Amino acid sequence: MVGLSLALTMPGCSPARPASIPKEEPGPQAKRAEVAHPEVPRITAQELKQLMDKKGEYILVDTRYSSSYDKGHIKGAVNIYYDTQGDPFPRKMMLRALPKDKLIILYCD
Amino acid sequence: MPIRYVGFPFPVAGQPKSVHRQYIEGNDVVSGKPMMTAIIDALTKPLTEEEKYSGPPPEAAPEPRFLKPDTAENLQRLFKEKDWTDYNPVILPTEEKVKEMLAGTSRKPDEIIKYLTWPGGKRPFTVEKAAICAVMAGAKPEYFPLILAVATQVPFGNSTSSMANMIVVNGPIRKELGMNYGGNALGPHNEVNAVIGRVFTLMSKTAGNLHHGKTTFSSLGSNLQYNNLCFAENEEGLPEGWEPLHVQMGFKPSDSVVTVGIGWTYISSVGEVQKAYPAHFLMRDYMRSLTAMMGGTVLMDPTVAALLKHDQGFQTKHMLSEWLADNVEKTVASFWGNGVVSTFFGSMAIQGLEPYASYLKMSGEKLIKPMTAEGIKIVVVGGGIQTTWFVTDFMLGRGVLVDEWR
Repeated sequence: MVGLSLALTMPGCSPARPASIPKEEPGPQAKRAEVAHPEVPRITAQELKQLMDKKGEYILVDTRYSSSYDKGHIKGAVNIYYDTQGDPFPRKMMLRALPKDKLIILYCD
Repeated sequence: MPIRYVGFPFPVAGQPKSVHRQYIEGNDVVSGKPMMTAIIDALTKPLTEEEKYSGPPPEAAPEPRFLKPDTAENLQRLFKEKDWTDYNPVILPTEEKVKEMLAGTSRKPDEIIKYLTWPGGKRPFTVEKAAICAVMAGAKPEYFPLILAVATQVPFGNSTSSMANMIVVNGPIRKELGMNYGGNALGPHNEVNAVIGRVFTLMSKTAGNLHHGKTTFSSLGSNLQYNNLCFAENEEGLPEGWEPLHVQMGFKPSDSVVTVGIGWTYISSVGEVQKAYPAHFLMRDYMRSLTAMMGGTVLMDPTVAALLKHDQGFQTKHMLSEWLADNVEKTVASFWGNGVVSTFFGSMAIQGLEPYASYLKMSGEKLIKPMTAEGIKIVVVGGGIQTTWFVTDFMLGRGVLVDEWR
C-alpha cells in the first residue's frame, strides 16, 4: 500500500482478546503505543461517509478476520485480514491486487 | 489456547477432486488417525490442561548468545546441522568479529530492527543478530548500514510456489562500498554484491526461522535465494531524463536507498536488440508470459536504455512503463490460469474489486491488460557491453533509507 492510505478511526482497533483476560487500563504512554502504525493518517466514519456520498475514488479494505467480514462489512469493502501472527504471504499477494493510484482506506474492529 | 489442527498431504492446490477425496478418506498427517476421525476428535474431545490455557502466546524461548568453544571444523559442521547457513562455509561469528561489525553503525546492539512473528513466536530481530549474520556472510563493517537497511525487509520470500527476492541499491553507498552496477553486476564477480545478497539469505534462515521441511515448503525452491538478485543500479548510465529508481520513489539523488522486491521469474532477452524489432516490442512479448500481478521490473543495459530513449522516443522511464502497461496483453484464461493469482486476486474479485470483478464475467479468450504503469519499474544495470535486458515479475517494495542505519 504505497502512497495514499488512511485508517478509519474506530475505537479499540486491536486484535480481539479472549474473554477470560481482564483488560487493564493502560497509562498514557501505553495508549499512544497501542495505536498501530501511527504514521498512517486517520479519518473518521463521518469523513468516510462524505467521501462515499460524493462517490470519491477509493478502495475500502476490511482488515478483520474473514468470519467478521462475512457477518457484515461496509458496503464495497474487500477483505484483507491483517494477521499479525500468521503467514504474511496471503496478505502480501492480496495487497498487490490493490490499485496504486487510488486512496486506500483501512478499517478494523 | 493452543490450536488443534489436522493436516492434508501436499499438494492440495490444483489437484482433481479424486485426489482430494483420497485425502479425506486417508489419514491425518499430524496424528496418523483416519482423517474424519481426527477432525471429529479435534472438534469434540474435551480440552487437555495445556489446551485450556487462554493467555497470549508465550514468547519464543530465548536463544543462547554463546556456543561452547570448539574446533572450527566442528563449528562449521554444527552450523550446517542447525541449518544456519546456505551450505557454503561461513565466517564463524566470534565475539570479537561481531563487535567489529557492530562498530559499523551507531545503533545499539540490542536495538530491535523488527519483530518476526512468522512462523511462530514474537522474535526480536536485533542489530546484534544482524551483525552475526553479516560476519557469517563475510561482510565488512562498512557494509553494515546497508545490511541493516536490508534487514528491515527480512525474511525472504516463502511460499510453496518458490518465491525469491531482488535487492536494488541506489545512491552514493554504491560507490562507497565498491558495488558493481556495470558489467556482470548480476553475476558472481563482486564481493559486495555477493555478500549483501548472501546476508539476506542467512538472516532469513536464522532470525527468520525458515527451514526446509519445518517452516518453509517450497516445491522446487529458488536458486535465486543464494544471492537474492542483489545489485546496484547504473545511475551514471541512465539517459538524460531517466531518473534513478530511488528518485522515482521520492528520495533525493544523494540519498542511499535499498529496495527489496519479491517475485519468481526473470526472462532474458538472450540476444542483442535487432533494429527490425525494437527492444520494447520483445519486452512486451516476453512480459505476456509473466504472472502479471499488476507489473514487474525490467532490467536493462545502459545501451538498451539509450536506444529506447534516442531511437524510440521514450524520454522517461515512466513513458516506457506506460507503453508496456498499454501493450502487454493476456487472455483472461491465462490471467486466471495462475494459481497464486486465482487464489488471492480471485477472492477479491468475488468481493467486487475492479478490474478483477469484471474479468470474472469475461470469456476466457478476451484479451486484457493486467499490468499498470505504476507497477512496472525500470532499472538500468550493466556494463554497456551488449544490448541485452531481462523482464521479471519482481514487484519492488518501498525503498529503505540506508543513511538512517549509519
